[in-house]
Amino acid sequence: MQRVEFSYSMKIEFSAPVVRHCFSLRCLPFNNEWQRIRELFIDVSPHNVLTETADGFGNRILTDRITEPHTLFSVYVNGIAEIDLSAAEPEPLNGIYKYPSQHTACGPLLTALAEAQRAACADRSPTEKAKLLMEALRARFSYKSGVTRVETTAEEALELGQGVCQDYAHILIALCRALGVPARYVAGIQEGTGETHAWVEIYDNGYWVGIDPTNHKMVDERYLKLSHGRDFADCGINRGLFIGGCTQKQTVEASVRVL
Amino acid sequence: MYRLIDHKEEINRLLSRYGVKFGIYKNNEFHERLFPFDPIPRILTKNEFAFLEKGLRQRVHTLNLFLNDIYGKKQILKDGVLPEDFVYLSKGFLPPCENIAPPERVYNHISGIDLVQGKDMAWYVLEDNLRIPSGASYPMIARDLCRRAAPDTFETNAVTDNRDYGKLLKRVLDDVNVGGIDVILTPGRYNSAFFEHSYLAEQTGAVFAMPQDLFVEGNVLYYSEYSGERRRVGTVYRRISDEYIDPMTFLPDSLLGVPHLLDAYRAGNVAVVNAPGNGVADDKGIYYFVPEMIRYYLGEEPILQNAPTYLPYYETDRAYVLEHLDRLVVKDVSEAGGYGVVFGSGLTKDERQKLADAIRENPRRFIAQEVVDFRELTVAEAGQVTTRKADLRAFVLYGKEITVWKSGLTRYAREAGSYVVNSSQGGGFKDTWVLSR
Amino acid sequence: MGIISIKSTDNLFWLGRYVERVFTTLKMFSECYDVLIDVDENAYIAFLQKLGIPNTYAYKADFITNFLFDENNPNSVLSTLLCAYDNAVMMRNEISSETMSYIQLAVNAMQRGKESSAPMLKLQEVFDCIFAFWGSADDYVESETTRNILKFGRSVERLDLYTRFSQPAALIRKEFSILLNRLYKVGVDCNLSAVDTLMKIILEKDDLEADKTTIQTELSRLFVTTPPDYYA
Repeated sequence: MQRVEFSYSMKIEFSAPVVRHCFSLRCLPFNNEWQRIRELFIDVSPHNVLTETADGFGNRILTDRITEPHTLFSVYVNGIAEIDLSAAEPEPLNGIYKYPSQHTACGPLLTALAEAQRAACADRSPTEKAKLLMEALRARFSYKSGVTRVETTAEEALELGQGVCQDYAHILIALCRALGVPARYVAGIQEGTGETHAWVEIYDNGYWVGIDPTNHKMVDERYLKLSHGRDFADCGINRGLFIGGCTQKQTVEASVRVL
Repeated sequence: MYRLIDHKEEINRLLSRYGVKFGIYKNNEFHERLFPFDPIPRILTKNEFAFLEKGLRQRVHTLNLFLNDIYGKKQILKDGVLPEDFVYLSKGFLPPCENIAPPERVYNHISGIDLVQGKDMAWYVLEDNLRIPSGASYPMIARDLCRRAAPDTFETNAVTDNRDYGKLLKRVLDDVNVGGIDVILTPGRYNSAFFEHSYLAEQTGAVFAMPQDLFVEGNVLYYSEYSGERRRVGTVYRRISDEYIDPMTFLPDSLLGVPHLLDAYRAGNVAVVNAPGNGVADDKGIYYFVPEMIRYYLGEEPILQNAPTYLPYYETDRAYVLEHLDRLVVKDVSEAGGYGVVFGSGLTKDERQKLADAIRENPRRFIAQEVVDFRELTVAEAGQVTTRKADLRAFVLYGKEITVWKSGLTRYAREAGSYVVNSSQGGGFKDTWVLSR
Repeated sequence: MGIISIKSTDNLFWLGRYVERVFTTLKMFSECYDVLIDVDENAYIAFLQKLGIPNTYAYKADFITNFLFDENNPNSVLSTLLCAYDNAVMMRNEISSETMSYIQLAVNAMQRGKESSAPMLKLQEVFDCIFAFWGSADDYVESETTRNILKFGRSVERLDLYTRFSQPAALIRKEFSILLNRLYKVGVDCNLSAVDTLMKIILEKDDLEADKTTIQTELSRLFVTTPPDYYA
């Protein structure tokens, strides 16, 4: 069991006032049998009737609709979690994680890459398959920011050969699903200070197992999980709509610190 | 009845007076068109209707059980009655709608079931419409005008009055209401069924709203009044398709939606009519399995049959389809409104080859059906009485109980021999009489 | 119902205005038409000036046909009527199908008039439909608020046109007092400073010629509707 302190802060500065600002924030960590939230502090400013609810994937969301004009929107979440991966309980599989999604559909490149691993993957456990696929992916892909965008699909990213954690996750998900391993996208925060992170969970014999292709390792108790879904589109940490505003500048800081 | 035929022009003029129109986009421009009305009704005897009613209730009940199952436990998949592919690859299956318990557990409050009657007089279901089936307003207003034109026809024929649709609909909206007003939400003037939206608002007395009149706060849906007051909404009968209803969950650039509507619905604070996500149950691929579903969920034999249908997904069916392409009708499961429907007999050798390749390439995308040679109905065309192919859209309302509307929209093809009855493709409509004896 | 949104208020107000615009414009047009026949074949130029519409017509016959029927010109009577239709169609549930049908019938009459060899005769049908529209509104529109907003729109438009066509001050005063009366009932926000200015001019002056522009400006500020907001 690992005890960690986490924090997430986000600020959006608008160049002109915005009104009727609706938002859905997926920045509250899962609170379940293997990730227990012991303390939680939330500050969203401005807010109107801040409401905590859930989405169809089981993620926690904070929603609201700010009617008053504002030029600064800030979110701060801080708390303490106890993470114990061994406490996870088996759960049934939802079939949606077996099928391609908007960002993870296989084109010719992904199909070829997956097929090249098919023989090596035969007769292996889902976790071992995922590890092999991670190797295959890392041999073809390197980390570089600014090359891809949030809309970039797995196939497009693979063609570019470079990208960020979101792209690593999308490609690995696409490869796993192509070879029959159910996989889902996870948004969260990793030990250290910096940005939010994304990784993959694959379904192995009743359990979801975390694997981080960007950092070439299995997910351990120093990762804090915020949300999961078919791909990035289901896990947007901040989804918002507003009137006005012209340009906006967003800054994010996220951290997990081992206690 | 002859009186009605004599007054055909006049009745059509009256229909235009009341703005009985549908919209159509042509070259990106919006046009309103009159919906041609043929005064000779389709007549269903008491016994015939009783048979249809029984079959429709069974089907609609089953489809609701299926929707409850598929967005919940998914027992039907675990039991292998339905291959998962048909659910998870269906465009109509919406994972954001998983694990929602709609008020009264009803998903398909208003179902439009399209039927045809074969030359053998047997009825076949061609399609289930469980998202936003439209068309009930047309026979309702036409009946009103026909009764004025030929009162004696109605004195002698014992025709069940169908003008209660507004009341039936209102009852469903009230049945599922979780506290608050009933609202009919239209995307606006430039929607093909705008006439119907506004007419149903008038007929039900529900508040007629545009997207910007509604907002969600604290997981509750409100209607904002001019006075600055807000009214809680208990039921929203939305005539906006799923992908546009909530930009926070679905298409983010939708201007037609109400942000957070899905959250309010998930929280149980508003009934959404029809429920989002119903598209998975009226998918053309799923259609194939409905008779089996009836056996599975109800343990009954289906009363209404499907048109003979083949799924190229199954190897034996695929072989049959490829062999008999020249006499089958092939439908692309992702298209609606009569689009993506191809009659093999009308294709050149080349085109048929292309279609065969497409089926081999992606068999799940298609279904193929035997062409049901449907019974033609008499129509009055240019002063002559002749016959045309026609279908029947039956409306089934589901609130605390299931009611089949004692009428329906009969659509007929304008061209002799044509099977295309869709209004968007030039079809006309007839009233449907259900006799009380 | 009595439950009405900002957007609906706006539709009702403009429905009232457009219907009245068609009605009074046609009345004024008929007078102008009479002059055009044998007195002054250029009388339409002054007519257009009063309405503040650019003269895009080549000659008398061009004006008569196109001012009435040119759907592509937003200033034509038919276009104005179609604007009324656009607003009416949004309000079917408030004003009833019956009331709405008279706007449709007026549109039909105008469209037939375009094809007719004696279009002026067809205009009588348009007048009939408008009278029937208002009669039906009185009879079938259940909500008093709805009726009041409609008629408030009518009063504003009528005052605007009467001023433009230099109708007698007494007539304008009478119409203005109807409007004031309606204002108390209408129960919607209105611009009080505009009311004030209008009262000072219309109720106190006998010659309104010099204040025409002010009256028109204040009238346009009278009714406050927030334009519908859309999500960015």
